[in-house]
Amino acid sequence: MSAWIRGNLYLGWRAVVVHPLRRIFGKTLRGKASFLRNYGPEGLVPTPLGDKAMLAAAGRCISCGLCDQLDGQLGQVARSTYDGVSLLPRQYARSSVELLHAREAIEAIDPEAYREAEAICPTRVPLVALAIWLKDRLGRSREGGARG
Amino acid sequence: MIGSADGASLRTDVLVIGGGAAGAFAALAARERGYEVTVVRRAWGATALSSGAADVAPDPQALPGLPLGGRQSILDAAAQLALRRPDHPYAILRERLFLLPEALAFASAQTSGVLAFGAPEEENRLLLSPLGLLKPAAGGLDSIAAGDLLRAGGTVGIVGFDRIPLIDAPLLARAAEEAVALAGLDLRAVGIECDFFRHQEDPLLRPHELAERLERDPERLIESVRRALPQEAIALLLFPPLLSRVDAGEMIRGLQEGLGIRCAELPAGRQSLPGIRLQRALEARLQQAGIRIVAGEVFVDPALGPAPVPEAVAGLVSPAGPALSTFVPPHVPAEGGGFTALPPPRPPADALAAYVRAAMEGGLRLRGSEPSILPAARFDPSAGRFPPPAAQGQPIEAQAVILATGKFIGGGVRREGLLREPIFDLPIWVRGRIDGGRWLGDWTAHELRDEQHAMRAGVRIDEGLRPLLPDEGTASDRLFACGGVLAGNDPAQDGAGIGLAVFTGYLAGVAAADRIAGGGGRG
Amino acid sequence: MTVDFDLIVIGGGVNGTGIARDAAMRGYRTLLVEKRDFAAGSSGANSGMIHGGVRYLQYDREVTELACIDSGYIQKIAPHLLFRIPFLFPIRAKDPESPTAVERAWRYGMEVYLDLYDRYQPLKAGKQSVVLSPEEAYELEPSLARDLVGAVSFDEWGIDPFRLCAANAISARDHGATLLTHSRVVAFTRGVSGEVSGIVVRDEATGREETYGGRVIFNAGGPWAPRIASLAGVEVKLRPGKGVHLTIDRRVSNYGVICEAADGREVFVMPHEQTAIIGTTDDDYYGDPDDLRITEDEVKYLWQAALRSLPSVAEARLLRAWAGIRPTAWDYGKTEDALSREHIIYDHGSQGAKGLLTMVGGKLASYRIMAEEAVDAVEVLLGEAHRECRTHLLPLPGGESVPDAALLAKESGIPEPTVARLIYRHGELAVDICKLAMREPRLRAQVCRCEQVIGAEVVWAIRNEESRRLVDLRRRTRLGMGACQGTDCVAPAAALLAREAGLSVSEYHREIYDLLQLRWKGNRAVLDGEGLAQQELNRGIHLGAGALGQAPLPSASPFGENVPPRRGDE
Repeated sequence: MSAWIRGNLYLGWRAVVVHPLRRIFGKTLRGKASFLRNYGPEGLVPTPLGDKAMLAAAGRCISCGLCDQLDGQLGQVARSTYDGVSLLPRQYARSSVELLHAREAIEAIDPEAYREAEAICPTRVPLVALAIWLKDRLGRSREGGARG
Repeated sequence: MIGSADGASLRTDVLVIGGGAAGAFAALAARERGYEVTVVRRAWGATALSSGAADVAPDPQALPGLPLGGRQSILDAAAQLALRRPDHPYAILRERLFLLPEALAFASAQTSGVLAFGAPEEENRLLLSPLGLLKPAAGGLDSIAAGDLLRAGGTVGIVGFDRIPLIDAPLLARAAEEAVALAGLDLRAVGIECDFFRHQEDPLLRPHELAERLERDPERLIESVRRALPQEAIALLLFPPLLSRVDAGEMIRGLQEGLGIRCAELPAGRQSLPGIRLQRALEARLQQAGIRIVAGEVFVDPALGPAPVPEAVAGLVSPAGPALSTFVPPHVPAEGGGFTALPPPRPPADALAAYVRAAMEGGLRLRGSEPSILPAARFDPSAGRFPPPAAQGQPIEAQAVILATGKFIGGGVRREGLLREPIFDLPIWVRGRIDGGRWLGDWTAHELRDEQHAMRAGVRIDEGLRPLLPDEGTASDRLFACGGVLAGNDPAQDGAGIGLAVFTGYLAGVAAADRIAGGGGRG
Repeated sequence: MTVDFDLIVIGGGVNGTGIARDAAMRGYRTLLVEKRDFAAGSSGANSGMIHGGVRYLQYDREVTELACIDSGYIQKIAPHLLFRIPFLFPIRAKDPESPTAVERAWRYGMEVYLDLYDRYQPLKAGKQSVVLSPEEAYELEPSLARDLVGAVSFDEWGIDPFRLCAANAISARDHGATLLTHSRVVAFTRGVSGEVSGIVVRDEATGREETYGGRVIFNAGGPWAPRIASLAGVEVKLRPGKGVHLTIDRRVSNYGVICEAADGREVFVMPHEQTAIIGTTDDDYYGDPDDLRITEDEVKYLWQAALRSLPSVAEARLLRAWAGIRPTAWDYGKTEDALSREHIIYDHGSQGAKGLLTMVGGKLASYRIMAEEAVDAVEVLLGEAHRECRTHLLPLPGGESVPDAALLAKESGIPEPTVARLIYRHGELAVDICKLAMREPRLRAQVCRCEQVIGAEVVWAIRNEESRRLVDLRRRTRLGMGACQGTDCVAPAAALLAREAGLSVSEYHREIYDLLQLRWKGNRAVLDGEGLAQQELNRGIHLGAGALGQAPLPSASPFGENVPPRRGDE
């Protein structure tokens, strides 16, 4: 118990004396810009509401693979780059940090080519919109990284 | 070509909602009786993902792992299932089970043998499942139904490709031998790994790409298989279900001629090509029969007011807490939003019946099937209802409507806070009770292979295939339901999948046609 | 037949593997025995964070300092396994427009508190805390409920606990230790003077029993420590605490958010690798640690807490709920949260079991320092002079360097996202796995698309990482842990395992079933929305088309023959 009292006394000291001084001398960080400077370069960027909606829509995927069977771009692009439209909801739209690794695939795809696949997706994953959004998100992730 | 919702009113005699096996055969049955039929489907579903085998009913005496005793005909197996399971659609339709052979024959004839079923007095075939277990099936795609192990007539060769590790032929062969031995049969099986695929990238190919490679070069496939054949004589060659993207018949014929051995395909598991073949064959047949297929979604005109919540739900929604998933818009402070709801006032007993009737009499709408990015509708306990659909749509005029929307994959049954049927808001039954948002941990068992009541959720019907309301009456005698949307069947466990869809679809189509013929106007 | 060891470690969690590594590195002949698989117990069911003990600032800053130093060490020895999680600590008010004096004081207090933590952040390469206005917080995390008067950020490191334990175990093996998984201790042997002299171990697959002699035996069994100790006739008291988490199928945010549950406890929603997890609960557990089940209350408690602070979570796809047990040291009369997470090492010499040590309590983040203490205690018991501990200096296998994903992808022809995950899980050894794929082209096949696992990684885990079962493989590679929960990957992975390990047909079916059963256990607790469609597909493929639903599973089950399939293996 006394440890707790000692600990909180120290915190009190910091609250009343040390911290105000630190603020005056500009040693503390405040504001969104500081936060983004901390984490942006590592790809840890915010996820706007539009992104969240798209992520939720991508989350409808049940990995049935039907879309791959109607993916005209499969085989057109090098397999080591692009391995099927099912990867859009299953891999690329899961983490913005990993997204940069998929940049070649995302740059190579043509969203319009997914109309047929989208039409038969049992859980209605919006593949065309997802492809467009991934391109946009890739761009934003890169910016977030570039911002120093 | 698949049409799309184009603004003008859609007029048809029979509207079939859902384009899988159940919807297709319902449509074909009604069409055969001379009516104009339109199929509206929003996407592919369980049929396009099916294995290529078609099961009607399991034969209790042909359970894998038990010695094969006296087996029953498929018709008797269905009757047995009806006896064992009073909530199963076969039980509800037991007075009509005698029409099962007619339905199966109809399916075979309509698909010109793409779907093959045996004669009604025949017993289930035994196919080798993709996991190397014995799978009883009444039939299926012709190339797959031909793989009946009981009719092998000698050693079975399971073909695989050495570069494609996801199909392990020697393992399947060992499994086949063990499975068949347990059944009390004597059968040899060997794995035959051929070297057809030689490119670096081949292990990455999807089933349809593998099929395309095989189809392009059947001669080389024959050579490759011949090189890999063992010394002993093989009576039946079972190929992975990759022989064609459309119809394996030609490839099979070529292989049989070239190798001098009977050939068939194995039913598919994941990433099934036969499922797509079946779906495409059904769509082609529908169009050939002059049935219009429209890509779209059917919904009830929001002007009819929100669908009344089934009575059972009104009582169950309590202030104790939210059903799993209650959407609170982010701009509203979470405090007080949706967690302390008062139960909504109990609606009049026949409110849902009136709603469905009104929907059937000009209240149905059709909109395009573009997927949305907005969140799915969720039951709102504070309002006591689901939010109404936002879209406008073109009106639909139909004399009869058949609901063939499937179960969870097809979207005919959804859980959005509680289990619902999303078009008419018909009540969904689980284990004899209308669902009121109960946690599904209560409706499932811990052990995977035990009965999972939640997976049998669906719409209940009467013997006329008309959906039931909470008071167990029907809302409209022009509305029918068939296939996966029906309560009481779990395709994974109950041994009735495509077969159930064929049977109930056929009956629904006939019933719809009879209803239009029998009584003009509303009934 | 006995083989002699200096140290026998019972338990393959983070403590057991950490101790085995340290002891082996110090040159002691070490045997590690684990009844299931590395991190199959508590170490595999936690929040996956190597945190700096921020909560201890109010008691003892030195504890925090040591925790941050150690967090820094783990960063150095396993740089590939750590991922940064920025946290937002929101400060709420009943009426955000006019906060009360108490609420304003609380806001200032959090600012001060986390500023103090900043002193130790550099020890673990953490960033300085940032004070944010409500508007800024909403901009950074738009789905926050609008009830804030401020927020402060800080960050911690996340880690894959399965890989951490496996890496420690492999490192121990690299230094000469012997590893036995799926091997359960059934008895202790006694020496001439009554001291504990060894163990009798039963291999769960073959049923065969072996005896191994050890000069010191360390019981690191976690929740099972009392059971193990009782085999030696000694009592170890625990106060086991059950903790439940929920998994969302993808990262809904890159930031962790601290939420408030209905009973005032803290619940996190945070990114974990490519998913997001909501956790956790803390309840006294009186049941069987081998058979943890999730209840409706636990799921809804967590869900409500998350929804209240992050309403958009309502649209997210819940994959599963999972539970683990904290092997907390015994204390009576306190609420669960007030219990100490500190560890205690018991020497049972005074209880008639000389040569047996047990460790209880502790947390994932301080495993290394706890292991160091444990091996120091072992040395005392062995009568050996103290040897230097170097576990904080030598990288874990794969941690020597982090290859460049783009380069490795180009060289190997394997897609870069897959290579990136390989590098995450294996560090430098990803190069060898890619080489394996290049040598054996059939191993390029994608086994798990959700978690980017190729055949080569599966085979690697079997050949080099003591994976004997499919459930082990899912721990090593995350196969089956993505959105499809095994729908697409279980059968091909089982086929690979069958070939590599020479499984019999019944073993092959058992492997498929057991992995599906484990997935189902977690899935059924949160069945809703697309999860139902996923299960319909999964069951349709395996139980329906695959016929696993009808076929009798072999009664001659190789693993746990007389134990029902529900082993609580998660």
